[in-house]
Amino acid sequence: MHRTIKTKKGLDIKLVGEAVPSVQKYNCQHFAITPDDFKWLTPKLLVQESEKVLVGQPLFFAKENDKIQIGAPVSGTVTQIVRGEKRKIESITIESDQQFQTIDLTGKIKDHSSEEIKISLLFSGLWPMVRQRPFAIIANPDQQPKAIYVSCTDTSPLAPDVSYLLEGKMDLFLKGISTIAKLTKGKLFLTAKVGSKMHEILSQDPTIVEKLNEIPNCEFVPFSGPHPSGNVGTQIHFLTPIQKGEAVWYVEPQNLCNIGNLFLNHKLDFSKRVALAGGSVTNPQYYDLINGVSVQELIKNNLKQDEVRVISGNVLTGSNIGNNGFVGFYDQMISVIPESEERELFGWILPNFGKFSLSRTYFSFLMPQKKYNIDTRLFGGKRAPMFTDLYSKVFPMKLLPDQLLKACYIKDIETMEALGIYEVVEEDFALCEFICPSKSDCQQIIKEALFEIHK
Amino acid sequence: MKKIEKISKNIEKWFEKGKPLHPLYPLYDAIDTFLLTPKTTTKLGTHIKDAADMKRTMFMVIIAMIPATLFGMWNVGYQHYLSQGESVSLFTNFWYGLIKVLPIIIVTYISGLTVEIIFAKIRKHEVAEGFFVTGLLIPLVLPPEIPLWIVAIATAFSVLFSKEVFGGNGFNFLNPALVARAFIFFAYPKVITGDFVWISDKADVYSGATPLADFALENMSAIPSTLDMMIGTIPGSIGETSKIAILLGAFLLIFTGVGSLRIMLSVVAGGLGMGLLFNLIGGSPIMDFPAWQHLLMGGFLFGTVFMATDPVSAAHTKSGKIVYGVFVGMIAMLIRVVNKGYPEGMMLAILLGNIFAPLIDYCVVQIHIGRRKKAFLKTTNL
Repeated sequence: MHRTIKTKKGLDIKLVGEAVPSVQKYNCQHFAITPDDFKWLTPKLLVQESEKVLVGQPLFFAKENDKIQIGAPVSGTVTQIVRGEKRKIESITIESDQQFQTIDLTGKIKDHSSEEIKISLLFSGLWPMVRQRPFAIIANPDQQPKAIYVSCTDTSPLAPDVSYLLEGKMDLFLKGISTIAKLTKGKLFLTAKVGSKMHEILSQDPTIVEKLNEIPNCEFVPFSGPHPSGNVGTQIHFLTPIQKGEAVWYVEPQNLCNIGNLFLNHKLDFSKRVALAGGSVTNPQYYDLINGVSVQELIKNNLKQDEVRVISGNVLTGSNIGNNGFVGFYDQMISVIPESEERELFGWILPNFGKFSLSRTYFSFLMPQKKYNIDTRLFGGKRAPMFTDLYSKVFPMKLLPDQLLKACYIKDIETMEALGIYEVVEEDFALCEFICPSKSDCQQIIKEALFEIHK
Repeated sequence: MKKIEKISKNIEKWFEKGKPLHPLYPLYDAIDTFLLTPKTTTKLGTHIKDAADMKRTMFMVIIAMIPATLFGMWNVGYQHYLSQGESVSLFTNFWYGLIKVLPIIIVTYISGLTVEIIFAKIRKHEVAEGFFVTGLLIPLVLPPEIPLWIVAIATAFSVLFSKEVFGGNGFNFLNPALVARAFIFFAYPKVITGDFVWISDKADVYSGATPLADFALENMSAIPSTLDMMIGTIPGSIGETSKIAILLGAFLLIFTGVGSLRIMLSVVAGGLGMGLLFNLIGGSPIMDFPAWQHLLMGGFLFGTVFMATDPVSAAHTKSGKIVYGVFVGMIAMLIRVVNKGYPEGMMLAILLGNIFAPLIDYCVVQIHIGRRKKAFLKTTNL
């Protein structure tokens, strides 16, 4: 019998425009790698404009650890290195030649020991797919992780169905798991929400269960409860809470297929399946594409209105990439929601049946199944944050979210550590930020505090 | 709607930087966002937001206070005509009260908002909604005969010294409405104590004592019936008399989740517990006064529902709220029963609770930290 993580606190925000299970291939010549996708990484360039690159060829390495290299997702020509303020590298754009020639891998890919796996992943540019908690940054290859997590159900708003993302790639997924499991002396936790298709596959499909049983340190842990139960942060908190100096690694399920492909077939690819969803999308569905591809053609002629916000990732934690942006390195979905500046007369007092709120000051509590088309308005003015224990309604971890935020607000590192700052990253406070009537930037407060500690 | 937006945009020009009306921009902004929801969109973090904001949250409290306010107005008239020995229509009673109470409300808002707007200007932020609640709370805890100039001074004092000097809305550690009342209580005790202030323009022969005053004088036979105290046809502060009206408000606050049920129940539990303890000791009519009847007297229930639950000045942690509530309830009873000099213990009890709330929270956080350390030690030992 599996042990189960049961949480009750949280919130499933029901939005319109969920992706339907049908898939289309999407290809485009324009690609870009955005260094900002890799949190706190300072890029040191290895290529120049108009240089030819191969799949996996390093574009830049991390100043913090030169072993960590970010590779090109396609072969082709570097067209531009876009720089912003203080010459900060914003993106490196690549024009694909559609040949998908990879760097020479012969004799480089070995998976007998943890060291060999690390070297292979670092060499091929797949290492950045392994991230660590605390901080949600690329894992430090020199550290020993306490455990590794793979969360196979995304509980965020409009989240794609992971079983559909992995369709036809289960062998690669399993190879990825067995390979990654060797990187830790602890356990590899494979989690899925009770009732999801992934839960059914991982707990009932006889061939898969058998293969998982062959991996000695792999444990399947079902979880239940509303978002953020699918966040690895929540799961880590209940299974192996992180203390100062420790690290837990985690990998997105799709990225395990890329890793599995490397070790099973010695093939390097950055392909993935992405859901295009949201209230502004005419035909929300899935697309097979390659990491870093431009979304321009993807959303063209597929939008209900002109004023939209295109988000790589989900609406709570994703980044605004604009209509000409590129698919983020870790993101499994593109959300497109209406951008609106509409003002409403006496909006703060009228009943407003069409608005969603966790509080009962609106009537949305009467219609728990209704799906909403929420736009980008703030719905109110910013006020001084009030720490009134409201956040704990959507915060499943056994921590004091208000007190932790307060400590982060004043950068009191000692109190932050005592209250469990190492167990959280900004995405764990996304729902707190969503419901906050003072419209506080909770995620930013946590991010800045973590940066202070990381320094 | 588009028209209003246009008009607002046109008017905004007069308040822009460099224009003579620029110093009044916070006033313009407050009125503009009162009429129309702001058009600001999300920039950092989550791209979508819950529809509830501070304005709506605070306005729920105001709606919750409406039954008590309307009843209070009627009761001011009713008590006046009763003391005169006249019996008049519901409307005449209400009209008399309206004429008495409305000026107090208006003066409170003008006085407090002036200070708020000046500070919004200095601090360069929007006028926060907190005062709209405080501005109605203050009149409701005052006697109908209060001189308006005292209301103005007390409101300005409380906004300035209980809120703005600590950083404005959300940073005050005392309930501003109670600070205003306490200010009057100590600076001008004559206008808020005694038998003459609770009934407006009272006939001299008629006793104007509140139930609490009768209680303090051990004049138990003069205390009105339970039904009268429930309905509220008794002399007292404007908004505190009708327990039914207050409970209606409490229901809305609890239902919308704006007011903390945890605090309300804890205060009642604390009050009842302390009252029962006094009953057990007994020995005098005051000690023997039934605990449950205390809940119906004076401002106990009003304070429980609208004052002790103020989210900023109450304790913030879950278990802290219980300790805070019980503490407030117990102290209120203690002051009532033991100290006859101040028959109304609720005001001082909540203010004392406010002062202790940060300490209570500190203890709760330290216990939480201690538990975390223990739990970690356990896992590392395994």
